[in-house]
Amino acid sequence: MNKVLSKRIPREFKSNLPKYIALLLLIALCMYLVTAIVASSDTIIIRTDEHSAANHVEDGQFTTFLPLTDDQEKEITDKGVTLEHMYSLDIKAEDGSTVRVMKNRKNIDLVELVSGEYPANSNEAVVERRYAEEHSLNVGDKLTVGGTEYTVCGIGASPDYDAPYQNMSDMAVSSKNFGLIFVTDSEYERVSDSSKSAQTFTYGYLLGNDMTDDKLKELIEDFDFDYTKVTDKYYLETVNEALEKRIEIENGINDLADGADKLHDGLKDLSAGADKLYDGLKTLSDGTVQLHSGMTAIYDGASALDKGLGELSSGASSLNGAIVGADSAGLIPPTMNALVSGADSLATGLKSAKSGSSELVSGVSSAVRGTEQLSTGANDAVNGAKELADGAKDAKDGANELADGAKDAKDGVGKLADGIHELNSNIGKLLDAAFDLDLTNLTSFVERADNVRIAGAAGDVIMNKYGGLAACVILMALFAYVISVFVVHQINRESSVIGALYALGVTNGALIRRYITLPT
Amino acid sequence: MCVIQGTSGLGKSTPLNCIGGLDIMDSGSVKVDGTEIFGLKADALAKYRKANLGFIFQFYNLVPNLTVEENIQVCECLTDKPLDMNELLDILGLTEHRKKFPSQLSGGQQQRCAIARALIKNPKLLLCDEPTGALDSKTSRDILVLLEQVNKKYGTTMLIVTHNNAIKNMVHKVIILKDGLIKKDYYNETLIPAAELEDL
Repeated sequence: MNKVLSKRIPREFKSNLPKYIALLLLIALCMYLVTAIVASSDTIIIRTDEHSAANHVEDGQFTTFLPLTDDQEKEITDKGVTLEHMYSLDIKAEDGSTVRVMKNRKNIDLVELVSGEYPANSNEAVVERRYAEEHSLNVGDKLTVGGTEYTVCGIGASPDYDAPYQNMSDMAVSSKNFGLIFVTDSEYERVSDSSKSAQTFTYGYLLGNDMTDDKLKELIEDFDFDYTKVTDKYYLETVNEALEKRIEIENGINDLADGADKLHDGLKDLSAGADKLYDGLKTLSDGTVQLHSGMTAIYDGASALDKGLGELSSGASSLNGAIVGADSAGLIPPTMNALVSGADSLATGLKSAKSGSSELVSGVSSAVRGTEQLSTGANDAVNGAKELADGAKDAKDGANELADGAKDAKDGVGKLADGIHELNSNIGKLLDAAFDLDLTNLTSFVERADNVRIAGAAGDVIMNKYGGLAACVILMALFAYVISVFVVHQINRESSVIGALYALGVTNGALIRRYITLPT
Repeated sequence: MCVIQGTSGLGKSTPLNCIGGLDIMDSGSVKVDGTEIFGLKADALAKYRKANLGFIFQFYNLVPNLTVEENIQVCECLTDKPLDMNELLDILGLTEHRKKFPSQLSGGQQQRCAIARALIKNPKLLLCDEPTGALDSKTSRDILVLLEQVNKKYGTTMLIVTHNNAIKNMVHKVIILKDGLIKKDYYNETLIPAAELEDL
């Protein structure tokens, strides 16, 4: 039965030959296209990987403002990293295109020759192959770069310029306008010394031991760096401009702190002076009070003197009068002559004393008048002293208030000064955040996976490969759908026949095998 | 030979399909030669059909890109004891047409080919669903004559489902259905030969 039913397949195929031929051709064409795309992409990818391995493609590269010092390089290599100097100069060729002049490589990103040899003399150069192609250069041709004529001794390419973008940010390779040449070390030194172009200090690296890209980058960023030696004027301008503003702010705050200190000191002096004024006025006030009381005592004394002298004067006069009277009255016995003489002496004396006392009286009177005047004056002085005392007291009180106010001002300015000092001490952090200048010698750090120049061809075709595979899957699905439609169509058309055969005892499996083997 | 007769649409083919194991019954019992059909799994039913049954349909249902001989051989391979191909072809008048494809045959020839396909495995029971439905009266008579001959020669039991009122006169048993139920069920005392049937 199987063999009999199988006979329908070639007959079906024959009766629908054009349709099956068209379908087969379509499938074949699609498979061919997919295979061609995927296989060619794979070939490029595999070959690129092989070349990369053979030519020691870098693990990454970095560029610095200034060349690393020997110690810095040693610090890097001691950690197991291999470095390659890939310094370069961009110089105009005779036709106006830009040529990047580099030394020939020794350890990393070796130049692989397509034809010719490596440069041996200073006038020889290996030209990058795409540039050579665009400019129709062959081995033996001449190429003038920056006024120097080179003989093309070889044509090749290096893994780090597999896709020779001039800048990594470029969207497309333009080998008509940009290319590379590799010259001897001595020739490169000569060109770099004499060229007006700025040199780019690029290093290729291969990691070793347990070094990673991140660790290497951190190491280089921590290297000491004197930014003033950078020749890039725009860089210097930018840094100085940024630092100038910061310095201005720092100086301003320092001046503010100094001013606050001086103000504080001045107020301290003012406060001290006010205290002294207060003390002085207090002393004056006390003195005037004493003066007042003294003047009062003088006045009292003068008044008592005046009174006493008055009494003395009247007493002396009375005594003299009495004696004279007595003498005149002969009351005084001769035995009292002595008394009389004495009295006379006394009288004389008293007379003298009288005259003297008269003088004394007059003098005392004068003194009394004087003391009266003195008293009056002392009274005035007292009043004046009282007023002076009162005024001095007021002044003292005022000075006290001044002293208190000056003290408060001093305390307040003290706090202000403290606050400004605290601002001054913390302003550094604020300025660091505002002027976040992380000055490092590193201008760029590009890992291999991120370098658009490396494996450029492979990078271009990787999408082709995946696209081809995706297209293959889609086409297969499409064909499967088309074929299933054919099968369903046929089954629908012969459903009665299938049913009849099933009814007659043909198994499901046999029917399925025979009716989906060939889509119609 | 037995006829199940009734008008179109009242379910004449259903008992045929149940007997043939093509329709699954919800309840009831069908016994064919002592074998209970109800409850058999699909594989068992396929084996049962393969061993015991032949089918003939109104629209022949021949494989279009197999010859007459090959269409018959499809079922010949299903049994270990088939009938003789050449004899069968001869009986059914298909000898000179054995290498032709169904599209090259008339309706009657195609139906004969279908009969040969069903008979080649010498089934115990031949189930015929409107075997003359797509044929004119003359061709229908020819087919009925053939079925009569096969019945006599091979002793094959035949169950014919038809709406044709004349056929019941040539068979041994008649079952008349109405509204899905057996209205009448009887044996013919006198059989009219197929060649003499009128109003086919």
